[in-house]
Amino acid sequence: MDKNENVIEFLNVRKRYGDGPVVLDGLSLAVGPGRISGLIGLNGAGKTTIIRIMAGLTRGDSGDTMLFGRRVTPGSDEIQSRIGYVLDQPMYFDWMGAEEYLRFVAGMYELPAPLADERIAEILDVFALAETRDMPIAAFSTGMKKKISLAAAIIHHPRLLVLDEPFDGLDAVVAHSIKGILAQMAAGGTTVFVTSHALETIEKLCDSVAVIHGGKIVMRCEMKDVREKAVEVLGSSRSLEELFVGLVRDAPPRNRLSWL
Amino acid sequence: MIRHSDLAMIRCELGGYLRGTLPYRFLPLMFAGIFLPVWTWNVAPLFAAVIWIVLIGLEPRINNIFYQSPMELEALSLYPADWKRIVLIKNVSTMFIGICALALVWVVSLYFSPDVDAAENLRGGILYLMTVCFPLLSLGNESSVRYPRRNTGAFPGGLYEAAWMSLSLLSVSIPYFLITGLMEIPWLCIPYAAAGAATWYFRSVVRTAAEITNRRNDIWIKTKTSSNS
Repeated sequence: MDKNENVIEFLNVRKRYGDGPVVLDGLSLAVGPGRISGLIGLNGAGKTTIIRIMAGLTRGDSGDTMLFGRRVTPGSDEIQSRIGYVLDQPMYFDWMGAEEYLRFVAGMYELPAPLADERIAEILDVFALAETRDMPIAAFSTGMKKKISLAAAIIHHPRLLVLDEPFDGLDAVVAHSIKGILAQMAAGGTTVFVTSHALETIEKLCDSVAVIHGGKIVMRCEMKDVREKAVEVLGSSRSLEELFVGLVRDAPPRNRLSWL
Repeated sequence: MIRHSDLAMIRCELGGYLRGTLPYRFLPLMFAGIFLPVWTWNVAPLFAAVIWIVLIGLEPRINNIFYQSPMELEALSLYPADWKRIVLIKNVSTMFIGICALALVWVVSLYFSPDVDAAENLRGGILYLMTVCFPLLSLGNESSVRYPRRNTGAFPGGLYEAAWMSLSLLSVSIPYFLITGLMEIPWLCIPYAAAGAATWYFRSVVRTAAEITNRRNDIWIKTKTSSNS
């Protein structure tokens, strides 16, 4: 793969679940290497679908999805060795303990046992899971489950990390640690792709941001250019949150209740 | 050569089974194993009852290999999986668990049937098992792709699964009855079993792996329990 080639590329992807509304309507999106890119959108906008298409868990009705310059097709399992995922719906064997699960994941990525041991010990420590290393994941709290998903996603040092709402349910201390780890990974050349409702987090964490609405990317810019973009779109310099609301609202926003 | 991922899968298969609820299916089945051979009408020889019990107990491991837990296939898809090896490991793990369960159920059943000639029974059991094992695994692999179930082994679905397994077992037992009952040439079971093993390894495992590689999305749609946008 070329050094400057896009790591993620969606080309005119369309997706509809059965007879439901069109979720992705000719969506195109490209993400370059070694960057932290954010994707924001309303509930049901299609963020999770984008990630599930990348993970091969669903496929678009038309259009192309490329990862590392290769089309995501049935049987393109080899690409997965370079990617780590944290999905909205946890996908792990919840009867395993945290350490056992990380050992399983390390094995699936063919990490040699000594290297796996070293990384597992450090990850359990950083993610504050060392005390509960033997507890079955089924007994974990939501935040702990999110942590173990993240830990499993990075154990093989992926070249692309895809995170769907990674900070949901995390306490501030661990969230802070994870942001640091993500920045470290991006500095080392890993591409990080994050979706989140927490616009403040996206604003602080990401190098660039895209807004999805109506099944399409309606805005994409560098994070440092958000205010300029707001001038262009809304006529005045605004925060990411205000820019986002301005872009996605279909009717004037209501922020008052008649009975209060 | 054994890979790290193979060892991880073997640990997952055996650990998952032992820590799940499926082994408890053997408790009620064990009573049937004790009852059937000593029943006045003597409906089955001891080894047939024992094998029937074990195979019913292992039904989800045979007919639904990709969903030992509700999200297993999806979870495995996130890794660089070699599906041929995964199918092979799952089938071989089932055989290993089956042999352990057979030994246990056989000893318990034998204890309650002191009149049975143990050596004769063991010989018959080994020939019968060899004959039915590989065709059943092949049928199970096919079923795992065609009719996957996220939740497996639960009551009352378990009764349906048991009935289906009994039918499958009956159909793959026909060659054994022909060979030993009609033709009365028991050693023919050995080449028949070898042919079954070859078909399982070279056809069923390869075909199931290819189906999972190419048709995973269709399988998920069929077994979908929730959707997200």
